[in-house]
Amino acid sequence: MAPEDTGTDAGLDARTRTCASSPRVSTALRIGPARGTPLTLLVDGEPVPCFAGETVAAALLASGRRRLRRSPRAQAPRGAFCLMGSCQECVIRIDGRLEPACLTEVRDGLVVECRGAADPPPVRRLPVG
Amino acid sequence: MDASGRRDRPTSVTEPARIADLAVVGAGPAGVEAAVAAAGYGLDVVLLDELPSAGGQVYRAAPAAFAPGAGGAEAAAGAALRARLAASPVEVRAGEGVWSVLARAALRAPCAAPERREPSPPPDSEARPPRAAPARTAPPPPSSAAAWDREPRRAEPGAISGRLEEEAGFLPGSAARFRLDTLGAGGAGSVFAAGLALCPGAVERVLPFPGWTLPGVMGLAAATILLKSQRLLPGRRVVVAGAGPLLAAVAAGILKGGGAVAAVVDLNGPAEWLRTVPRLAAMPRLAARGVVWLARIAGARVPILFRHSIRSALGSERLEAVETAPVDRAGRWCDRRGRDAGREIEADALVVGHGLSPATEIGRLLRVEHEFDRDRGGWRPVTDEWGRTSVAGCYAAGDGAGVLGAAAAALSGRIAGVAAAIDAGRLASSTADAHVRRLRRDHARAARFGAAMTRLTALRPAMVEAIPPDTIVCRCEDVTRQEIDAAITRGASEINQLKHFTRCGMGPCQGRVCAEAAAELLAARIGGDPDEGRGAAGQWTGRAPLRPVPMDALAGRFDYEDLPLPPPAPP
Repeated sequence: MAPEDTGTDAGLDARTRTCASSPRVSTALRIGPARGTPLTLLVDGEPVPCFAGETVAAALLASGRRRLRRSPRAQAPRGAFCLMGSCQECVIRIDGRLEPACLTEVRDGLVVECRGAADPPPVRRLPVG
Repeated sequence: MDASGRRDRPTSVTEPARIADLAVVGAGPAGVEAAVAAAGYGLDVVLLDELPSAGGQVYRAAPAAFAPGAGGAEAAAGAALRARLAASPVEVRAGEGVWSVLARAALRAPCAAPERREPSPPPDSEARPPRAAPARTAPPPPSSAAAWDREPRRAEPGAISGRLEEEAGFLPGSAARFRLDTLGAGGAGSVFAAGLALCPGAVERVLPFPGWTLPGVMGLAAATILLKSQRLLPGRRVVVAGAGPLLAAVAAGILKGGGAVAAVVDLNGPAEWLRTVPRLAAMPRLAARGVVWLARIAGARVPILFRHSIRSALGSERLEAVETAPVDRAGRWCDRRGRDAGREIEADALVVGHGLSPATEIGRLLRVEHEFDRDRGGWRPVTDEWGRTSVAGCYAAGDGAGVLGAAAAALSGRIAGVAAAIDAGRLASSTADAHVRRLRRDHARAARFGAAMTRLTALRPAMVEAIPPDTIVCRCEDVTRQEIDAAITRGASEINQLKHFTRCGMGPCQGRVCAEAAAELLAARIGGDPDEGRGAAGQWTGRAPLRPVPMDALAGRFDYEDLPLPPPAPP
């Protein structure tokens, strides 16, 4: 895979879509127009358009961000897995607190951090196995 | 949040405690029916669920902020359930999850097992309930306190246990037997209740395979939540894999939503599905829904790989492709025609599920007696025919008491609600008899259908045996299969020992994700019959908190100025 891969769908394509000066809402994964009012999340400093009623996990998935964090020991990429608050894989910093993204509803201007998901720390990479 | 940007989290200490006759945990079909039934007999019921609205995962509602969309039969059933709940006097606390449950009896005899109910009478003497005999002679008491307190106590609480009870918030003379600690948007809280109905539903079992931790790999149940509630496709090109009716439901849902299904990878073959046909007749409407799903999948010309499984998920930072290969009936890899017939399928999402297991965490916390039943999804609380568990005042219903599906769950919930009313003295069991007999008959029919579906997804030991050594089993702590094997070699003979040796199951998910695979690995090494092995391997000991709890939710808001610090010693 290319080193600049961001872990998001379609790499650069998804980036231009979410980084554009007038962010267009991606409807690629969203089914139907029956949604809430449009809102914007701030994910690692980038505006991510979404809709009221969506969970943070769903909004991130719809924006092409599948990689949310890294596992503590192997520093392996992880994304939302059970989406029902059981597995704790999508626990990320939301509004400054660690919260399961799948149980947290979006709010306008909500600050979401997946920092660290892209760049694993250079040291403390413990061998697994 | 207040103006300063801090969340308003009141302290749990200063909040007045809510004392209810019955607390119901889980607002799926079982929990709602149990709550509504008990409230119908005059019990003061509190229903708790961590989701924002009632319905459970099966009838999960679209967010309130969404404009109403077209819903199918399930959406209509969910709406009907919520309407009945709203019309009932049940206090619904949606969005409030339970992170701890304390049994008062455990404080009275801290070193002994909790208070037990008397053994149930044989079925033919069912007219006489095991407890609450006073209810048949006395009129309903003004408060449930009287009925619960009439029950003989095992031992008079001593001074120490009395103090423990008071410190835990159990008021002297109160009928409360359970304290539930909760966490919701409003902060931390507590509910005290004389009875406790556990209707937590099930957790999805996903057996580990190489790459299953990659972003883009999700549970089948996760996909149903995305489709039903969030109206979102799990990916643009999705592989749907695993076992059971969810496969068809999810694949059809993706197609209906305009997504592409790259393949359906089914552990079962047509022979296994055909074997369920006689049981399908029990629930013709559910069977018809399955036919609609299959028609949609066939119409879209989606390749269905029967008797196939996921060999690995491929990709470095996210899922890029899925490797599948044929398996035999036991789930063992087989090379058809003498060569590896595996194939690689490009996909950006893999939704995979190998069945459901009862969510037993609160029962384990209360040391409720459990039994291993592979055909009901795994460990389940032992209950009598009313849903009473081994701990007095504690009931279990729905998939959390053995996976039989939503239709059976609703009926078992209603029976447990009636049992709670009988035990609280609000109803003579002879009065309820005709009603309960009909519920039991309907439940038996729904259970025949549900059991056939659950059997399709029963854990296949060979699939666990096939997990490669360097594959992660415990996702939270990155524990691999070979580390688990090494710990077993070093002498871990029971699942909690395995946890101590390896940290498997010690992470934030509390072992909910890895329990089945870890226990099965252990059972295989214990040897003998797989079910006996699972029995010997045991279950994780239940521990609070059941979900991570932020420290400030417990501490509440305070100013450092207000901390009572003793004055410094004079110089």
